[in-house]
Amino acid sequence: MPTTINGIGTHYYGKSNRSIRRGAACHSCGRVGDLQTYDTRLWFVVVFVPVIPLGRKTIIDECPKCRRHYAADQAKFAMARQLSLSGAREQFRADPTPEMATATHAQMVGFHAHDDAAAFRKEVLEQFPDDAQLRGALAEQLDQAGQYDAATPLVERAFELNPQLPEARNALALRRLVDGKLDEARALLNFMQEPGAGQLYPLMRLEQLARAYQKAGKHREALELSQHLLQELPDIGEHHKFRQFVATSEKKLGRPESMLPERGWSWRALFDSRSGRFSKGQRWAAYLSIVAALIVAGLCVLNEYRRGHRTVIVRNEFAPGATVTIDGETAVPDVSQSEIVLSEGTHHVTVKGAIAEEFDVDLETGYWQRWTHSPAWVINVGGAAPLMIETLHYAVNPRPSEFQLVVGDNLCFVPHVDYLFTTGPKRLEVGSDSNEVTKHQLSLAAEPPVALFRYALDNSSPESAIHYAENRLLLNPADDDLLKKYYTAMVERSQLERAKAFLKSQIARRPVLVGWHRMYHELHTTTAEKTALIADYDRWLAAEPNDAALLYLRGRLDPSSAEAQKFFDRSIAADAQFPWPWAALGYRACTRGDWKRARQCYDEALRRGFPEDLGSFMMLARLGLGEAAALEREYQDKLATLAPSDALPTLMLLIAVQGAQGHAAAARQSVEQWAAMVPPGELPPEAMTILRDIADLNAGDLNSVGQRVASGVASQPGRLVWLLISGKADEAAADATLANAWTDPWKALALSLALDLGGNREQAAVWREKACDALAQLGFDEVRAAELLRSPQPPELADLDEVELQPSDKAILVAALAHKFPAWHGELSAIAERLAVEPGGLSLLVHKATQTRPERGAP
Amino acid sequence: MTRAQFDSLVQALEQKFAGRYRTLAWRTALVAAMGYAGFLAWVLAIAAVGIAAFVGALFAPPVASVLLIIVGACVLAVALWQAVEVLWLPAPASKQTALRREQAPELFALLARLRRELRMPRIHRVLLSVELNASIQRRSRLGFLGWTRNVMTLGLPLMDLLTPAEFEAVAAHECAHLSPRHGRFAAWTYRVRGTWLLLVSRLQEPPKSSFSHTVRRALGRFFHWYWQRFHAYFFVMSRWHEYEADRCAAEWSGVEPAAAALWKIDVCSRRLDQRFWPELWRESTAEAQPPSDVSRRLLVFLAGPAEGHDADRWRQAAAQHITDNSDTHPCLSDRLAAFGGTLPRGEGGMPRPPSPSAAQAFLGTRLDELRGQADAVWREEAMPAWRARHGRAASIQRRLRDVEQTNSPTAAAGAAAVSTLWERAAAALELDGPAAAEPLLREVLASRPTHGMANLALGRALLERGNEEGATYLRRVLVEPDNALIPDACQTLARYFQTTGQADQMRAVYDELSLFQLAQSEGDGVSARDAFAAADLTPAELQALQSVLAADRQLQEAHLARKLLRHPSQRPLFVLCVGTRRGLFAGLSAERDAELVGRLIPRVRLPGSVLVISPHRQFRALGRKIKATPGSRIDVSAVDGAARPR
Repeated sequence: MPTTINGIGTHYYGKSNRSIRRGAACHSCGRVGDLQTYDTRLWFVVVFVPVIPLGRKTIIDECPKCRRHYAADQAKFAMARQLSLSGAREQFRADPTPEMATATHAQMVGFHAHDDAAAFRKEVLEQFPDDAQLRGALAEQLDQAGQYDAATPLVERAFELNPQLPEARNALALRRLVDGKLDEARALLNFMQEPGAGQLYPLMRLEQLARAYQKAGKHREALELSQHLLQELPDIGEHHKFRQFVATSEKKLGRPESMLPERGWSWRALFDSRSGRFSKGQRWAAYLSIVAALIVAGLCVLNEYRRGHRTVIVRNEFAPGATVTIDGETAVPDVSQSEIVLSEGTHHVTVKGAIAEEFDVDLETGYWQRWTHSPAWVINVGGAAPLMIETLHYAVNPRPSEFQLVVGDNLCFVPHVDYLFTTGPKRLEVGSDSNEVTKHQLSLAAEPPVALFRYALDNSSPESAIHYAENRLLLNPADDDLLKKYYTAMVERSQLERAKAFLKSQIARRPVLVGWHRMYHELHTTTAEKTALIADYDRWLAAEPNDAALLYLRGRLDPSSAEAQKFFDRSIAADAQFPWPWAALGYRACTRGDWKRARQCYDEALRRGFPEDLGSFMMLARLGLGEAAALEREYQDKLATLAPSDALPTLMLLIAVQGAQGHAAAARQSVEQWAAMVPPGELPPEAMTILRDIADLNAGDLNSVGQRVASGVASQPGRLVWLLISGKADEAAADATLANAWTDPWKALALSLALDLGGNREQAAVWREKACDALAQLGFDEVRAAELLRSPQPPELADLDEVELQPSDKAILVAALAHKFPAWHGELSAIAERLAVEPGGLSLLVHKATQTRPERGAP
Repeated sequence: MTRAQFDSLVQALEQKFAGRYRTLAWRTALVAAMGYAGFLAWVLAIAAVGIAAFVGALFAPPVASVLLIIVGACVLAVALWQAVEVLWLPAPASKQTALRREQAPELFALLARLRRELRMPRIHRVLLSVELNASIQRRSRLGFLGWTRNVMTLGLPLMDLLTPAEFEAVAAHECAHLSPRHGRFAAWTYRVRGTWLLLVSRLQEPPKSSFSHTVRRALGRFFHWYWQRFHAYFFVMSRWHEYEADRCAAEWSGVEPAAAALWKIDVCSRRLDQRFWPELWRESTAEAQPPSDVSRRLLVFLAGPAEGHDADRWRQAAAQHITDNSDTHPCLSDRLAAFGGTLPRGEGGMPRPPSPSAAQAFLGTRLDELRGQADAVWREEAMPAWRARHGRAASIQRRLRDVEQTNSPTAAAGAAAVSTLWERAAAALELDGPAAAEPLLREVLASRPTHGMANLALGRALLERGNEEGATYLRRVLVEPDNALIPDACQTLARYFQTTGQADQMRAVYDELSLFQLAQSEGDGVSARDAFAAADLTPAELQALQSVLAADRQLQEAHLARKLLRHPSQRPLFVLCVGTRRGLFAGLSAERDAELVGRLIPRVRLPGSVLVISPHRQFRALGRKIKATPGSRIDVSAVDGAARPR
């Protein structure tokens, strides 16, 4: 049958030589209707437009209901029809007997030559006017062709001529049956109800009669006929339709015993359409059961296969330095990413080499999910690979994708992944406007490790984040940004011992990782620790006396300024291109307020490729040298080239130099311009408050800060500085929200100074002592600073030079000493003023202190 | 494949493998295996698609994998269905009760001896029947899938008729079919053939669905090609097996008992087939139940004398019967000659049951009991057919009464009289036998000598009695064009000539049958590839045609040719190619020609089938060929000197 899908396929076009069999039963659906026979042409069509002719066809007996039909090649059918009909006619001419007439007529009816058949009938009936058998046979053929109207006169005449003629009685019975005259039909079919009739006549009409009786509610008659059918055709007792028919009537009559024979079970009969023992529905149910069994078996096999063959991705960022084995036997290829197949369950993973760890991974999914989900397991060696799980939404107006960063975990399990280490498409067919398609993607995060670490610290498990940072640092020890962030995070989380242990693991590594050593130094805050460290370096230097890095590091630890200078000189001598000693020398100059020397040393360090940002120190040096205007231009130029997210450090420098020049409005404008460039929502309001306070303090605009403090919107640092400078040190000391700030010894010292300036000497002494206590717990320079503060004797200038502190801190120290020793106020104030080049902040307090001469003898 | 083609193939194989039995056995086994391979390739090809879907599912994404499993399951189910449809062909179950060892210890001792000596496998069941025959079968319980058991069936009449030594020869013959003497694969080949027979019969049933129709179209060509060849190989091998089994029988019992057994079986089988069984079944007309003592009746019948010249005729037929390719068993004379046996000499008449007979010797005191069992089994198995015959007979008698009441000899005339006569003759033939029907058949043929069924029935009845006049009636059938009875008439004639040793006549009849088979499809169509000749119409036929053609004003030219058919009895097939005047546009000419053809089809009358065409479209080449046939042109310019109307 021609078929089209979306207008593409085959189709008949055109109808000619149409003939209709009225009231005939369709051979396919069995419904009675007008069956058409016609000539047509079969086409290959596209959007129902005929494109390629596929041949002329003769369509035979097309059902108006189900459209099923026979199709024959038109030429062949026409040829066969001509030859058969002419041959049959000729045969009849040669042998003009009723038997031949019957055969010829059958040919004509068979080929749907209904007009020829009608003419031929007329001819032969004239020739054999009283042959009842001929009329009966012709009528039977017409009945089979559905031409009841044409057959009826023949039937009636045949019955008139020979009332005993079986063909005539049979055909007449059909008509009585159709008219609902069942008893008359039964009487006509009496010859079929004799014993043995089934051997001579087809008993189909009797079965039809039985069904008609059943339909009319005459079950007794129906069963009588069924009993006869069963006797004549014992095999019919096996046929499910007959059994169903008999059972229905027996049930209606309430007969306890059935006339139907016992029937054994047969598997073959169930599947054999020829057996007739089971209905089509039962047979289909059997077939479908087998299909269902195969499907179930297939699904079980699939499930079991998936359970036993899970693909696990091993992400080994340490490859080939680290080798991975699973369950002690499965060796994973030494590449950064590999796939291995494991069964579900718990597996033991052993990592050896650059990183050593052992852990268990549990691969498990739900039974049903094995058919519906594509899970992904990633064994992440050292948790070093940053994995990003993204949920992508595809729609006409899609929601933003959601993502989850997985770092630091040894196993990453995602229940379902559509795109595994591949990128999902930008666009996807979603069907309709209201539909949303969600896909899951697992990939490697492309952001720098430090950014991922920062994100992970804030948004996922800190422990995992630290694990990630440590292993990333092992992978790339030169990542100073990450190292610094790690250090900061560890300090913030007071995990100093862990950080110390981690950093120590790479201390003995050569060439020396200067950044690691410096962070390691920072973790050793007490004099005792630093002394121990010095001993370590001395030992290493004994082994490698000309290692410039070790010499530099040893120098930066040495409590003696002169000794340190020697180590720095040796370091420079050992490696003229090594920048670090120059930077150290620059720092020393800064701590003494020797800005010219500091500038020279920093330039040397930068010339030698100093890896870190010297921005703030260089700024101090250049501010000290009066290059504020030049600095402002440079910072403004640099700021223009930077993205808002990367511009904050430069902005801080810019507003510092603008403040140093007293350009308060310019500083505020710089802050506002930068804030305007930051995408909405990314800048928290408190950050802006801090920036505004810093800008105003840098420019010395205390009124603006004071207004914000009064209205309660000032930042904590801004408020702290404003209180100290505005003579409200008592209030600051009593403010619980600032309590944390006073743990910083320099802030505590500043508070002491502010209290002193405010006349509260008693409290000033208390806070100075607190500051001294805290300083005494820190390094050599801080201890020295504490000693100077506690000393009853004014400091020698040489003593002050030995104290190497941040210029701003040292300025506080010197200002405090100036107030302690009024006799030396002038000289010390000059030193403090020289050091307090950094605008804003506590420098304002230093300026205030240096401008306020204390009374003699105090304290 | 026609009968002649099959005979040629068998002959070629016999010549090719003459004296090389082992090669033949191997080749037959290979051909049998090829059948398996062909079918398995088909099933595996389907299954491979299903398995590929299953395997694909293991690596496909979740939803796709479930879909692939469903698709794979459906395809595998089809493969399974195909395999079951063909491979699961269990042989029909037998209702016969197996003989137990304690019932016939002597018989089982003989079989044990035969098994030992001939190194044959175990016989699982021994059955008793009421046939004058013995057979051994390897019955497969699962069709091609195997699980066979060996079943030996022994006919009680056979055991009654033969002496113990002769029976041993028959038993040895049957056992030889399972022995290694037939080669390693012989038994398997027999089993495969049995299954193929079931399969071929299954394939000959009409398809139940368009799907099975499609499958059959795909497999049918292979099956047809393969089956003919396998059957030919098997036939040659099987015939060799019969000779080999006869040699084995002669070795076991001696040449004389073996020869005597074969002769007795041959002669008495003819007697039973022509006398005992037809008469027994004729009892079903009157009796509603089959007799319960058939084996005793057989014994009495075999012990009684034969009528008239029947004994001589059957003895003569046994001696003169010639081998053909209808049966794997060679004729008696060939079988005897193969192992050096001769026809028994001495007294005439029919062989009688000896004393002691094999039945008495091997079944001993339990003979009567076993006879009763065999009778009961036969009765049960014959019951449905007996009842059907009984019912049919009653119906025929009733109908005959009706016919005679309605069409009294005076009332019925002409065609109706012939019809009534034939109905009575057919009823008599069925109810009372050929002898009773003969006068009526002659009466029918006197009224209508061309009555095909009457000719066939009378010819068959006469030849069965050895009356050569029967051939005359059968030959009348053979000259009727397109007569569907020709194959039956040929088979009857060939059987007669085979029985009377007329080999040339038999071959001629088979050739006739082959020609008929070949010509069967010739009349169905015409193409330009066929051969044509001038129509050779009689002047009257030609004039009638010219009149019809001349009456059509549009007709410009007409050519008539006759297709050359292979079988002389085929109805002539004419092709009339007509055309109108050529116009400027070919398309318009074609339309006009088509209309002309449409007008002429119902009017043209010729002594055979006629195809009226115009030389366009699909008939272009045919039209050219008809026109090019010498003498095909029909002059339509003048008819009987009258001017054509224009």
